[in-house]
Formats: sequence, C-alpha cells, structure tokens
Amino acid sequence: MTPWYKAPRKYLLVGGFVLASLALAQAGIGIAPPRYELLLKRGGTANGQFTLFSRTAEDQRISVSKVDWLLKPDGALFSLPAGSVPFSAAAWISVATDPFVLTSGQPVDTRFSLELPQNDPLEGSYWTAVAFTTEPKPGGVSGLAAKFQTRLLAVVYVTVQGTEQPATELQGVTVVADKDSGKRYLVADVANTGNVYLRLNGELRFVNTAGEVAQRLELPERVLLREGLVRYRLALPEDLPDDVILAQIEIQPQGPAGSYGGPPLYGEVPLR
Amino acid sequence: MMKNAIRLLVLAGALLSVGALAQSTQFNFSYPDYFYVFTNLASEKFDFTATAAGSNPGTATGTYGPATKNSFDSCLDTLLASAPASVTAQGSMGSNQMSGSCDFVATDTTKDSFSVDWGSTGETAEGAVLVATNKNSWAAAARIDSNFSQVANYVDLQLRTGSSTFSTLSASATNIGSLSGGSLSNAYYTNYVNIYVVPLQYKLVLTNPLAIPVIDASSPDTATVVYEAGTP
Repeated sequence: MTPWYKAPRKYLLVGGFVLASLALAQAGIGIAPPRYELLLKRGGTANGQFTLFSRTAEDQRISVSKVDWLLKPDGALFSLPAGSVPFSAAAWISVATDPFVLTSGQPVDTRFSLELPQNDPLEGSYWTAVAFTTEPKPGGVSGLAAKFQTRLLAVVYVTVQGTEQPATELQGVTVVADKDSGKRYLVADVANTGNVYLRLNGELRFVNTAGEVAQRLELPERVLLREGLVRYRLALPEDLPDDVILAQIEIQPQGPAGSYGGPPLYGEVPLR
Repeated sequence: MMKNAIRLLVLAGALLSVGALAQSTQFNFSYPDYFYVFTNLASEKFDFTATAAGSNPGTATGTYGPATKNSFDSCLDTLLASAPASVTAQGSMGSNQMSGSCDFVATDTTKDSFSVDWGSTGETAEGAVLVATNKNSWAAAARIDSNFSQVANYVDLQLRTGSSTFSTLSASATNIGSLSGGSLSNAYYTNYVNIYVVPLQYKLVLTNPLAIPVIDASSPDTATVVYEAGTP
C-alpha cells in the first residue's frame, strides 16, 4: 500500500486545506486562577502567578499590562488606565509586561508581587487587574472592516488587614413595569457605605395574604465595590399566585475572601 | 483511481475525527479555577447592501449594492427631502433634514470554525464569544479600541448581542454578556457544563449626510474592537 506521504499532490492539498481549517478552528485565551483576593497588613507582601493557557492551534502573541477596572450598577465590567480609579492597587503590583507567545498545550506562568506601602494611611480594600490581550488578526483589509481582540482581566483585590469596615445600605425597593412588554420588575439599589468590596447574595420572597411565603427566588451573586452601587432588576415571576401581595428582598453581604460583610439587608414592596 | 479515492476518504475521515475530538475536549480544563474566552470572529468586512428607512421627509428602502461612493450617494439621496410636504414653524432654528440611515451589513466575515447551533433561539449570529469557566460569575464587555481613521465621524459601529436591538460601540465599554450567580444576561447556556455563549452581529450605520463628499468606502479603513472579560 502506498504510504500517505506518497499520495498524489492534489489529495495532500485537500488534506492540507482541511488541516489549515482546523488550525484556525479555535481562537481563545484562558487564565488560572482568574482572580486573587489578598489580605495583607500595611507593608505586607504577597506573591502569586497567573497561568495563561490556550487550546488554539495557532500561536498567539499576548501583550501584558496593568489596568484598573470598575463595575457599572448593572454589573458590566470595564477597564480604565492603571492608577485612574480612587482605590487602585496598580501602583503596588509588580508584573513583567513583556509580550509573549502563547502556544497550545504550553501554558505560560506570569508571576506578580504586591507590596502594600508601610506608611500610607491605607484602610479597606483596593483592587486592580493584569490584562492579557491578544493581537488582532494580521493582514490587510479592503474597504471598511472591523478586527477583534480579546482581553482577559486577571483581577487582584487586596484588603488591609485589621481595617475592614463593611457597611451597606438598601436605598429603595420598587416595582416597575416595562413600557413595551408590560413585564414587571423589582428594582432595588444597594450602596456600599463601608471601605471594603462585598459579594451580595440573598433571596426574593413572595408573601401571600395569610402571611406565608408562597415562592422564593435565589438572587444572583453580585460584587459591590467600595463606593459602588449594585442595582437589582429582577423579573417578577409570571406564575405568582393571585393571593401574593408582598415582595421581600433579603441580601446577605459577604466581605473580602469570605469574611464578615455586615448585617443582612431587608426590604419589601407591596405588589397590589 | 479507486485506491486513491479510498485513501482520500480515510485521510479526510481521520482529520474530521481529530476536529471532532478537538471540539469535544477543548473545554476540559484541569485547573481548580479557570476562565477561558473564545471568539470565532477574526474580522468583519462591511458592504453597503443598505436598507434605509425613514418617514419624514424622505423614505427609502432598498439595496444599493457594493460599498462604493456612488451607492452612498444613492442611499443618502433617498433620505434627503427634495421638497417638504408641509412646514410647521417651531420658533427655533434647526430641523432634521435627514430621516433614517444607511446600513452596512457585514460580509466576508472571517470566522474560525467552531460553530454554535443556536437551536430554537432564532439567532442569526455572525459570530460568537464563548466563555468557559467554573466560577459562578463573569462579565464581558466590548469597546472600540481604535476607531476608523477616515469615517469615524460619519458612521456608527453597532453590535447586537443577545438582545434584540443594535447598540453603538464606543471607547466606553458596552456590556455584552454576564453571568451573575445563576442568571445570564445576553448569553446562553450550552449543552456543555460551564460553557456559555454570546451571539454577535455587527453593522455600520451611516449617520451623517455630510459624509457624501468624504467617504470612499472602497479605501481601507479599520476599527479594532476589544472584548474585555473577567470574573470580578
């Protein structure tokens, strides 16, 4: 039997095309772990590493940078230049920012160290991120075109140990109806009035005329940054029993790295 | 000849098996905590197969062919009123002399070959952002990192994700999808555990009639879009 490498050229060309297609099959970048939550005393130092990995057949050139980031009330994440947010930890983190080539099956470790200043009057939580960005596809285009890049934010929180003052405030619970669909939503704002970031969990309860809980909904976890605001917009179930008259929201804040996050928050709003 | 055909079939079969294997195993990660983002869009080229619509003063619906300056002119001419049907004095200067817009739909989309079966969702996405993570929350946003150098003042680059309407991208981030606890926004669960997908559809909208003497859509001009994602 003729070995495959002696197959006629046209078949090899077909095979090569298929291989080329597969070579372009996956474009991606991964990170482990995706975030660090550090607790340090003033002057303390922590070291860590992010492992970058890919399952993409093509090599990818990755650039590294320090960025800051914030969350919008709806949970949208967006990056900003390093050092541009009030509680930025970007100045304290050291990381090699040399670009590198990421090859499938060959993870790359990026080490960082974070050192809190000794003398600054620091208190509460600070945060930043190391950004790993792919390069856009090389090659020219004709006419109007868009090219795409992917940027992973490796998040680093640091909280000054012994200075945590978690505090939150539920600023209002209302029910609003969507103009177009008529669908009703419970809207509630939670403001961070303390000095640490928090993770919010909890539940939404629907109470009937007998004072019993007729239905419960688990709240999605939300991150509430220092001086930040989280806005819940929760669709009311369409199958609520007719005798349900009240919606109660209970929110359990959790502090940095699972620590105490302050007392739970309660709010309620009549539905009829 | 028959032998060669069989060899080809064997070769193709083997390669397809590799491809299928890659598809099914590429999302298996051994890390305790991981976050992985794919996009199968490399670039999108926009052509001017415009549909323009408006009410007053002009109305245009049509297809104007490839992106050329003439087709811009044709589309914009239909949006500009030759004579107003009626005039109402409003006591202030200024009025909208252009109604509607001319859209560039994306063509020649360069996609890597992972595919998404959108099932019964009714999506007609050109591409997708795919997130694989064992964390219970993530967020992804899109923003323009580098805008068109020639036409940025005359067109909007718009993106449609899981929602039904296009929204204009800018240097400020636009949320394109998130997982918060068990709740997804704009993204879909997939048949793989811990894998989520966001449909993507782009278009350009010509928004400024002053573009007529300026734009030559046949000359190269590129915007760069950055997908930013993380697990805060």
